Amino acid sequence: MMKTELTVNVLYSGAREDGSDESLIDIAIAQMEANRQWLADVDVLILCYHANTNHAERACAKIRRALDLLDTLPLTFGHSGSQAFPHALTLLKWLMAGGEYRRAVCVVADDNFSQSGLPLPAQGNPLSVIEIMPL
Amino acid sequence: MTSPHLTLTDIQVYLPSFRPSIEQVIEDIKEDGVSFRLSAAEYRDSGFAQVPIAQDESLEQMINRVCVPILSRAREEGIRLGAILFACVTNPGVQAQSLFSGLLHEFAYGDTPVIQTEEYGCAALHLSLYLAKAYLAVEPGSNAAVLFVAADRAISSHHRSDSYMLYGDAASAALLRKSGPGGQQTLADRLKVDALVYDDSPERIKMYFSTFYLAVRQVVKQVLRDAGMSMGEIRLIFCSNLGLNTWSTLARAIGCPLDKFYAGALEYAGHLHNTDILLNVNDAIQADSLKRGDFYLTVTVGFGGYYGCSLHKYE
Repeated sequence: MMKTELTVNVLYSGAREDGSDESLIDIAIAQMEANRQWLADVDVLILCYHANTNHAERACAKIRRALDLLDTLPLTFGHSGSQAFPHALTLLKWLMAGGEYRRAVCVVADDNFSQSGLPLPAQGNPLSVIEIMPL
Repeated sequence: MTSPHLTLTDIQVYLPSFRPSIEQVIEDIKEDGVSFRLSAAEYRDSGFAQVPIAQDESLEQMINRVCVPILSRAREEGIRLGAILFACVTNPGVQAQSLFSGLLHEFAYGDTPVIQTEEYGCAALHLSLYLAKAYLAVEPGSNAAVLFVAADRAISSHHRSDSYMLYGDAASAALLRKSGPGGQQTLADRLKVDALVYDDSPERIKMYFSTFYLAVRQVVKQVLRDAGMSMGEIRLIFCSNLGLNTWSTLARAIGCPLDKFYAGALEYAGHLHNTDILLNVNDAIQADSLKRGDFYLTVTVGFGGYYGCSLHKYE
């Protein structure tokens, strides 16, 4: 049985203000640009993103290019937002077990996401930037 | 020569039997307001003739067709599945876990996560090989495996074509296991991500079309170098079914004759996203074009700048 353990650290946690139509991806890019130290030595860039619009298309590629993270392996999952975070951890355990990958930054963003199809209560649109490394 | 680090076994492919001509499909998509850059005659020149289209089969039913034989055998053998890696280019918003929940329950794999990777387009197969290799490298025991599944079913003309190519419906699957006798051994692999295109920007799309063949050349040469082999030792190249014209560009860039690209399925199947490679390999085996002991390359190209290449041996 694999015993890769990971350490997870939340670098940023916030939400888009009610009434604002700025994309969560653009907010994430701005936060990471303002805190470039978060991106030092990152070799995997992960996006767990759900949106009801075309914003969801290739958003991981957009983050990667906007922040010039061209040496990172990008990974993103089927439009599931934060529900995909366990999958991100599963794949990172595989990748980090061998020692080749040492630091991942993961953007988790849920845009108007409703599991049951009903509008969410006024909880905003949550956004997190998380670093993940082998223990 | 490197030793194998992964073997593909139990390859299953499903193509719908309804396969209208490219002329018919181009006419249909144009009626729905989707333009197509080439005439039907020009598209046919690239080797395409028919487009498999699912009629009564749902996406879930297509997935069942290819997964039931594999999961049934895997359960009998006591295979431990680390994950199902699911590639679905046409339906990116689909709820992957629910598509597989019946299957996983039936074969007692209820704890297996279904991970649907995005953005790699038709290179998701090589991303999956890369991820599975990492998993198998640290999992003890010879019964560890990852199941790769590709399934695509267009639900509108905008899925059927992006104006450059026509996309058929299909499903395919293969078990990715540690090396062992039989199956398709993987001896070397490379993944390259440029990820140039993330929106409709014409400049970025133009940049992608100007550079994709150089990126393919790079991964192919890297794989051959990693394996210590030359192109002359490669029997066939199984590439995403991009058509003879695009393959000509790639062949020139790689430095090999065009007929090294396996084209046996191009007419009746065309481009099926991530099913192309498994379809082509199976087709070549059935046609006796690929024989046991042969070395071959698989090459995939994901729109926007995602590239994979691996070297295999048919054991």
